[in-house]
Amino acid sequence: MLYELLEEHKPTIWNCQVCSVCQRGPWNPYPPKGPTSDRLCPEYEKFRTLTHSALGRIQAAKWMLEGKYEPSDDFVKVVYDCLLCGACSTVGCVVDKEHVPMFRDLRTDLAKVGKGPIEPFVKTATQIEKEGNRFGRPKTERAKWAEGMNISQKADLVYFAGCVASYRAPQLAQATAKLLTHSGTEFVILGENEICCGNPLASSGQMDAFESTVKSNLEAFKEAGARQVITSCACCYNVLKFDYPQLAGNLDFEVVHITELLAKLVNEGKLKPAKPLNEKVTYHDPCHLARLGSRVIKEPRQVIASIPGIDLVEMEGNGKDTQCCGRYPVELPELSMLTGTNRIKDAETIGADTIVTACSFCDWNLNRAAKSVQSEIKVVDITQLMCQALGL
Amino acid sequence: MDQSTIEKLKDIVGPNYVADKDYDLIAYSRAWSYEGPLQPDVIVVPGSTEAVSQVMKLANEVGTPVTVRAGGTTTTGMALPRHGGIVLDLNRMNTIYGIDEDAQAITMQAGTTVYGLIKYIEQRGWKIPWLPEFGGGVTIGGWTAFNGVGAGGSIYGRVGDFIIGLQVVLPTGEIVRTGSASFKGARQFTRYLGTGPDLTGLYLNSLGVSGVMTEVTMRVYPIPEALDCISFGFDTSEDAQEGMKKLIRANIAYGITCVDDEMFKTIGLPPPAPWVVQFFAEGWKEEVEFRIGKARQIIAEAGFGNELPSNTIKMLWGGARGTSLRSKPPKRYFCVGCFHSMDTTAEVFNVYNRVGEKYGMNRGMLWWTCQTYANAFPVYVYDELNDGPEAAAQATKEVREGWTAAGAVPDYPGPNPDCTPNIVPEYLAFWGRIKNALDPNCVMHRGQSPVVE
Repeated sequence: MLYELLEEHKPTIWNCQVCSVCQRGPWNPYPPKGPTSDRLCPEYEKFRTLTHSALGRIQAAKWMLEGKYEPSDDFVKVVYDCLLCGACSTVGCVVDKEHVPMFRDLRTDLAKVGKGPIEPFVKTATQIEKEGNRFGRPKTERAKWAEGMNISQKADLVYFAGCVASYRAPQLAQATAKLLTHSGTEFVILGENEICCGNPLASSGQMDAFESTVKSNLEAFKEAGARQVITSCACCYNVLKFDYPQLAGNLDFEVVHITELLAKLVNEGKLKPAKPLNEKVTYHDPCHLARLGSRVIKEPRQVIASIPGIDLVEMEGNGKDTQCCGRYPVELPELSMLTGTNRIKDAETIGADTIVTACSFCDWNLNRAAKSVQSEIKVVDITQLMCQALGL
Repeated sequence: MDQSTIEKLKDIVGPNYVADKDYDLIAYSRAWSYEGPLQPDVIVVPGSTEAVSQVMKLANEVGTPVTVRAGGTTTTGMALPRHGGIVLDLNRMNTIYGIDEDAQAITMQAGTTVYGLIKYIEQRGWKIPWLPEFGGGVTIGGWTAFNGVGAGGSIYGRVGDFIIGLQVVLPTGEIVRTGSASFKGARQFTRYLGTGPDLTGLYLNSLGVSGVMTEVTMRVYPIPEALDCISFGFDTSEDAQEGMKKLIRANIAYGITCVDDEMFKTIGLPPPAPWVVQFFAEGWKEEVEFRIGKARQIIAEAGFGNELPSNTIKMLWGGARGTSLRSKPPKRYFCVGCFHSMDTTAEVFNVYNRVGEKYGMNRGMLWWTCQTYANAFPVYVYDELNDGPEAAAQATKEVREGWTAAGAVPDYPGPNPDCTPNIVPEYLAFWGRIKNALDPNCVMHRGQSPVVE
């Protein structure tokens, strides 16, 4: 079989209702009550043809499986133009609740026959292979963010910082470390043994490279004696929690997102934010935390609500119905920017002073988008907000 | 299609909004129905009425057919190009121009989604006449072209009954306004004028064959103080018919809808009765209470039918009906509709059930009143992977035949062989003369009009 993985999705592909919900929503397709939106698929929002939507890719996949269509290079580009945010299926598809695994399998099958991935994803993979991070920065600088932070040498809990917080936004990793230390939570880091979680590899169909990444990180976790792994990046969290077990079977450790731990620490009284932050704040749910596999939705809101003076307001498209931040600022910069800009507008519409998020990529994209449209809105990670409220 | 035409189309709408790669054509080869694949030669996504006009002029010049598409949700496959040519995707044209509160009218581009419209006007304290029951891709242009229905039809009728006027691009490219705005200096406040017959009507139920609707002006109302409903269960389709007739004649309903036990089974809920009728009332709080009480009294006095628990309706609204059609493994569904007088309701229901049982299809009846008559629009679940579209097509044919025999009027697609023989010849000839005058080169939805083209 030419497209072995795609074959598994035949029931969904053949039974696509062609109902257009995957392009234009709405969030709640069956009123009488509930918010609706005219914006759903980021890719469709940019390109405005059915080709650039779940529906278009599904129809092409059907023709591929029937042997009636040989994918061209241009079509491969279309396949990779998707942010894999999952809005198309979770929000209202009447046929299947999960499109993302199907589109990932489409990419993997295309890669297997030498038709993918597109160049920016190949470059990312090359950099991960060379230096263990998506930026191609020296492996030796991976733990530079932790210098002077007095991190334990031995603990059951491992903090997995991820590439963005390790290299591009060290303040995120530092904020997480400060909160863990302040709450009396012993933790270790993997240092130079930590490499990219593999999310950009798995999502672009580069499965051999992904397997190698999984193997390397699992060895490092084992060596550290991890019983629990904490991530502050939703993308890392998602791939560790859902993709690693698919390749490696049951893990020896539990994967926890920092917002889950923070909510627990707040409830136990181990974190008591006392400094009032008199701001109108909205929380941006990362797709990888609220929609794709997991539903970590209440916890971040509990954490934010524990801060005195905060006025927490909701944007249109929240919880599992969240809108993507843009996800791929390096690989798909234009689409990523448009998507992030739309999210900034959502926050501005409800008069928020600050967007709080809980993912290194969301933080990156939303900051980048806010800057590009000269928005006065602040974008901060939830760990930074908590540090501020705790005076850390 | 030759390259020079493609280039001209790019000049009109911009190069990013013309798609003619093989995978683009595949993406547009299916619509909601089981029909297809039917591919266009090119997809054009215009952003303005003027662009649509230029596309239509070019299509006439080169003699290529044009098929209009927005949500692609016409269950009769009218969004599919039967003879190739241009597919005109109106989804970019989704601007809402605002509410004229004095005229109680809203004007918007035809590619505006119905739910986008509802969101816009509800935020401003207004409502459209109906509570629609369909997926999110449906646009106001599509709903108007289909002359659709929703809950609320008992008092408001169908969509066409509340269209004040349109902006249309004729098949030959001229831009025309219908309604009161067709009179110099007047804005859109009424559809009917002393200046001539109702030309808006040419576009209701047209499904695209009369031209391209680019703007729609619709009547809106302030959100009422109260909206409530009561549900009744009936043991037989005949009892349901008689119960609903009594409710309609009392002239107290905002809407009356009916679903059956098969719908409950299909979506995985316990059926509260073989036939479940929902009676909706809207208005002032006291008025709604009175109407609900009156409906309760009418059914109690009828001696058949019983009131169901108040949560019956909540099980169906709010997502259950739509999302629970997600079955494992995934399946598709098709719809077939008809309009009928009240006294044929039971037979319409019985035909639907007979065909469903014959083909072993899970199904669900969706039914609404439209003032004093009704629209049945059942869904049937089928597996296109293992069963193919053939059973769906055959079941649709048999449902239509059964309904036609009962005196109902099925929602035929275009030149369907089931359809044309049942249209009175003089009417067909009259419509044919109008169609040929409007569209001399037969570019609009070629092959989809029941008249000889």
